[in-house]
Amino acid sequence: MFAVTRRKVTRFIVHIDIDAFFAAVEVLLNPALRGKPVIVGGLPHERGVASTCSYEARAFGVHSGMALRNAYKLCPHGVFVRGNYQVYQSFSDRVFGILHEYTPDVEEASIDEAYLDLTRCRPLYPSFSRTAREIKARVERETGLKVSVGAAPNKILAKLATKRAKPAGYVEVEPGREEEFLRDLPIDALPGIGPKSQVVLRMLNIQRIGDLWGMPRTTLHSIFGLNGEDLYLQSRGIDSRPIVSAAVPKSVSRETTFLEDLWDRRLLLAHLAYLCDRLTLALRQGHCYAHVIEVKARYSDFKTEVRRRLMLTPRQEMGDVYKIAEELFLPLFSGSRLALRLVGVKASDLVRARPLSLFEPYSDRQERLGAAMDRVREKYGFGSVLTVREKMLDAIYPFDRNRGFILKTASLTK
Amino acid sequence: MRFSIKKDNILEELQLLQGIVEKRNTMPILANILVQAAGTEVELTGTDLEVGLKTHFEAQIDEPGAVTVSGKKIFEIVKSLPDGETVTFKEDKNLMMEVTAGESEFKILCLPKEDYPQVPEPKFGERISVPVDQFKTMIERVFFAIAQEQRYYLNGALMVLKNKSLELVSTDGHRLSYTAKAVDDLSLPKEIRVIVAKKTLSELRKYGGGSIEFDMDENNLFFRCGHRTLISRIIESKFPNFEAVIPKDNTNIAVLPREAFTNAIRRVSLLSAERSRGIKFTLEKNRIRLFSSNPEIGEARDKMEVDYNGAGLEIGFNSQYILDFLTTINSEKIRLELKDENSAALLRPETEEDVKSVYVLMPMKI
Repeated sequence: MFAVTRRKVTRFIVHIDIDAFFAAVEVLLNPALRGKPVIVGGLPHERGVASTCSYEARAFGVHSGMALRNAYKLCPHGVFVRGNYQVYQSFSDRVFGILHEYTPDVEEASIDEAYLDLTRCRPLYPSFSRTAREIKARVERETGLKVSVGAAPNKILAKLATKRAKPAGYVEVEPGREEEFLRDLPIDALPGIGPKSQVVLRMLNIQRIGDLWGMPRTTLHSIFGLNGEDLYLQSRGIDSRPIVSAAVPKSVSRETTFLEDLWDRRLLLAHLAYLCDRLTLALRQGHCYAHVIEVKARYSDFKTEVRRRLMLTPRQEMGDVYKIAEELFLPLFSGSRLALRLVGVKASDLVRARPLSLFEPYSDRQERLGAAMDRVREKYGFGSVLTVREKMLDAIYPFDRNRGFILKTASLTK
Repeated sequence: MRFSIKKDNILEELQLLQGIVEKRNTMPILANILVQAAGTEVELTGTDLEVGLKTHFEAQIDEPGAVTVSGKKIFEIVKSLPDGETVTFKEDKNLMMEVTAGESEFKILCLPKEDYPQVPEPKFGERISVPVDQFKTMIERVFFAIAQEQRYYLNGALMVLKNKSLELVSTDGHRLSYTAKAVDDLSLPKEIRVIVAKKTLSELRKYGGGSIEFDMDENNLFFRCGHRTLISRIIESKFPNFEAVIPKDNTNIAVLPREAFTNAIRRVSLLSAERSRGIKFTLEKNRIRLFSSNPEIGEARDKMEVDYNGAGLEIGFNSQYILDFLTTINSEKIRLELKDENSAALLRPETEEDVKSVYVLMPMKI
């Protein structure tokens, strides 16, 4: 259950990242797209940004986070898809399922990225390198996705190795060769080096990680504060962070941008209900209860407002969460003359245990209802049971019994 | 106005007023205290409009008068003077107060006494009085279970005065602490139920010696302890029906040594989840086992021999909530009375003390 780090034991950390994940799944679902520039996130005329694009699209300069309109200008013949989070999630689950067979020390860093610590499994694997390659080959064979894999004695080096391995390669940094590996990497390869820090570093004539080694720790600290300390250590490939395997997530959120700005109260509430349904499903799957529910509204002028509520008794059931979300949302809606372009719900301050209330009689009705719904949906698809309110989305979105409504934005949050 | 007094005779009063005066800067005058000198006595008053304190003491008065000054500054000044020094307070013409002692001299700005809010006067007609020490013990036993959050009605404790008994009750929705004491000379035409603000209870904890007298009018509660009177606005709301949630048919009863149980919970709670502090208790014949786990840190186990003949049970609780209670009572043994894993548990000292205590605690699904 826990990653054990002893002195002098060199760890063997494997970092796995699925290449162009969402785009790759779209290609698997529709082989006609193979070899074409695929951009996931929305249609060219829609608002929003590209969440993933295939390597073919990247060749045109398109990258994730780019506004769809701009992506279209660069790559007018690209294939634009809205994407579907549930499908990506199921592919992701299959990949992680394979990883968990090799070691209990798996950290799921995001939907398409994970760290594995093989160190504790030494007796099982005579050669870690061979095992790492085998994991890569098996994931690719069984899911049809391409993955890049980096292996190294710690997380930062493994992640940098993966970056080097892209696309679809395997790079291993052996102990003792860290310096050689890091020296010529560009500084923006390091996490936490954004455009602003890059400018500062360029002014100091620091282009490559090796250039950072000449900077004293105190200087880095005075320029970047605490991040400077991280920079000092990371640039030397030093990282003692353990693999965190079963952490309670910090928050779970679901949000969506509308196809066009909305002002209809009933439709807005239908979206909110659908997002709450999705959110509470994730809470139940993660065995979490939320102390804080937050509702977000973005207006047509891009102004964003958030309302949150702290609950003494944490919640996870659809009925409870929707009721609170609606109470939080209505003032945001009625207080505005502008139409809305996005709504979202977020659950945070998550706990695994639920304290019972003295003044509300205990009943497991809600819990049993949730569990029953989950069982039906597991068998017949998410769309098989929906509330009447949610059903109103029929008018706007394509419906699939397995996946539910296909909203515009596929959410990336875990 | 001009009066003189030994430092040690005024310092404690100024300190108590510190707890009362408003720290936020909403109405500047609420940061001040009202100083009134008349006859042979000085009276000091502080208030934040919810809770007020009036205290009076003898001083050598050369010239009567009244003025308001910063409660914080006057306290800091007096505190900084050498012990045993005589301090003289004098109001000069320009609404300044002069404080002199030995070679030290201060002048502080004042605000006119006319601007100070009216603090209601108590009558103390009926005599309801309890020994301070026992009242403080009662406050200790309910104080920790007063909710911290905005739910108004719970931000205080319920005080129930009946014939021959005084009760205090507090709850935060997950637990309830009840304490009662017999008061033989208490006789009332009808029962009194009022919610006392958390701040008032917190101030009353600071008083020592003698007895506390109680009185009330339509809007305020008055607590008099010697020369000090605390005035507390009544919290206008309904306290939940606490009698209904005190369990009466919990038949699975364990008797535990308080100190050993407290220590075992402390140990196991070290590895409980940060936010919920949940730990699991497994009861079987003559034994209780404790368990906690936190996926990010590890897990902890402990077990104890206890006196238990009830059904086998596995039940989770917030460990902090149990510790809150165990550390405020003194009895050597405690009773833990359970029904099942979803119903309220009851904790109480095994032997009845002079101040009676009952603690109701909802389980936690872990």
